[in-house]
Amino acid sequence: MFFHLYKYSLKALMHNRNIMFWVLIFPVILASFMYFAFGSQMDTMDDFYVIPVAIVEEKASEIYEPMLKYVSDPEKDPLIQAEWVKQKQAEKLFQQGKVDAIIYVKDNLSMTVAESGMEQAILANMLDSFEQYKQIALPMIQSNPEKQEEIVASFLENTDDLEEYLISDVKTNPAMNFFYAVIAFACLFASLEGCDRSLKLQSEDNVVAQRRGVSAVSRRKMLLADFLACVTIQYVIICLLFLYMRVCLRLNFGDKYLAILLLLLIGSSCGIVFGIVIGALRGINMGMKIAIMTSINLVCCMMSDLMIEGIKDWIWHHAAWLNRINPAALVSDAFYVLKVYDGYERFVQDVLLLGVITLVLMLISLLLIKEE
Amino acid sequence: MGVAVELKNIIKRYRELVAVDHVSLRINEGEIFGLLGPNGSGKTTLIKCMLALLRCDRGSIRVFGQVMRPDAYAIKQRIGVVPQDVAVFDELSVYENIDYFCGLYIKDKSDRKQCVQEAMDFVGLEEYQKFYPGKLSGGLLRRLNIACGIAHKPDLIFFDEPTVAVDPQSRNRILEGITHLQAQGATIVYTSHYMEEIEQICNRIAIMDHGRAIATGTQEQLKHMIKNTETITVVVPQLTKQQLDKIAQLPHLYETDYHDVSLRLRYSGGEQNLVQLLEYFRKEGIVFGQVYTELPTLNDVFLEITGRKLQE
Repeated sequence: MFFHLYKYSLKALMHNRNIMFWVLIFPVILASFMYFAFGSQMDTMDDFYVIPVAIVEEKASEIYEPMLKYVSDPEKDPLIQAEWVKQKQAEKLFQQGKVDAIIYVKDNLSMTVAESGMEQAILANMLDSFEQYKQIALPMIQSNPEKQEEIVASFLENTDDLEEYLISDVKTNPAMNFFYAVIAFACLFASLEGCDRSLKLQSEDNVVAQRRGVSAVSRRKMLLADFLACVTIQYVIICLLFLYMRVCLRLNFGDKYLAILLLLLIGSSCGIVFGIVIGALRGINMGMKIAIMTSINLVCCMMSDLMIEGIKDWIWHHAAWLNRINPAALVSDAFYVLKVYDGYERFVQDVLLLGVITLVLMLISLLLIKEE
Repeated sequence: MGVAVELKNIIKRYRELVAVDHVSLRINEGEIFGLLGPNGSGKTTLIKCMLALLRCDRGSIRVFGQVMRPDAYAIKQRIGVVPQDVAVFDELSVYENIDYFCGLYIKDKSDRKQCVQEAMDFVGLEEYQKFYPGKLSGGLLRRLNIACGIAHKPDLIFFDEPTVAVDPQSRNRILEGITHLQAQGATIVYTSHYMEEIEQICNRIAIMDHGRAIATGTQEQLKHMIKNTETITVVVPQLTKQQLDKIAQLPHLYETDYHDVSLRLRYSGGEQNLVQLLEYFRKEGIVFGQVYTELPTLNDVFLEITGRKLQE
């Protein structure tokens, strides 16, 4: 019985051209359009964005200088592009926008940055780490000055705190945020599938729903079969989309494929259950339900950098909670952290939040789906 | 004969509107029970209440002796529904649609295959089994709608205006099919605002108006509830007032209407009304043309009880 329900839900979904367009064709078009729109930027997509920095050495340092040289060494996958200049020259470069920050080397490190953002976060983290290493590394260098380079390298290569920001094998490009947002869009628009099945199960103004409602099978059982069919279809679709972006557009999402597959599964499930909830709402006609769902989806996608670059980052700084309840932002962020960080802490946090949202929506849908 | 459906004092309100108003009915097993009434009279709402798709505000519903509830799956297993609008998946073919809905009742695959085949034969859709609903004509869609409702061979079938917007050929086929289902032992609840259909196939009828079942019984019983037993219409080119007054004196005649050249006479009782009328015309030398005689219809019943025509 359950397989019967599942099989026909799959068939019905696969033959629904309208849904297939929005969940498969449209994201492919969108990704391709963006890929070509970014043009030359895409050729350097895999190059890490090296932060241009002016360094003003107001006082010679046995520890800071080798550390800064290490992270700006062109042969060692540099984090910063350092220019050692006088203060006036540094200020001039900063004003002209040729550098993103000025680092002052005295007894301690300090810096001036143009604006808060990713670069500022990376540099601040880097300087904090340098301060911490100084306590241990400085006595070692002072006792073995000939091994200065080795000591610095050993700290910067083996320290987890800095690793997330500096020594990750994978690097990113701001343009990738659009592609993360496209995948988030595809996940959220799976709600169309969920809504379609839900309307044909519960809606007062849908005759198929009424016919199914008087049958000898409980609506919740049908809901489960419909949900699994949606997940199956959507998972195949989203994997195809990912494959297209990875293979045809040659976008680099990193190599943590198992984590990506998990993320795509949870993201898609979240979108589908959201659609089921909207479809099961009572007292609203079908057209209004579709309008509400599409509007919410578009706002969520917009807030995850799909239409306006940098809005997600802005929200992180001004209303981080909003990003934590926005599935599109969570999917997009999870992709970002998988690419940039070696660790999984923030990825796990994103996936857990997505899972909780999915679970809550699932409970709501179970409450809304009734036999009458 | 057992009772298939028993309704006691059903009330269903939509805010201020009373859609079903104190309806009590008893539908016997094996009969075709007609719900007749104009659009908006509460027929569909009453059916939805019987199917537990809507919760009644008051009253009780028993189907095959058991209380009907939304989760009464054992009862639902014995019920088939053919809704007013075509309720099929546009994305599935004719065969797949019937198989899907049949599969909501029958688990065994080979049994189901047999049932689906029989349902397609029954409605004459064998050659269209691979077609998608979008490619079918209105009549064929209606047949598919019926096939989806009867494929699992239910004991109780609800037909909610199944012939709306159907060509005469398909309509006859549908009506024949329904009587055939009854012959196979099914109980049918048939709603329509087409009086002729109800008269043609139903054993017992409930006439509904403004949510109330205003009369219930067999056709004969319903027709006996009203005064009119016969209506005679005669084309008379010329008739004086005196002649008309004398006609009005004829026995059993209670209403006379002469308009243009048409004389319409309504009788209550009497067995030789037409003979007496023609005898009178001969005596008076009244020239007349065509003569029609009509027995009362359900429309007359509705008209006399409500003061309105059924299909106004």
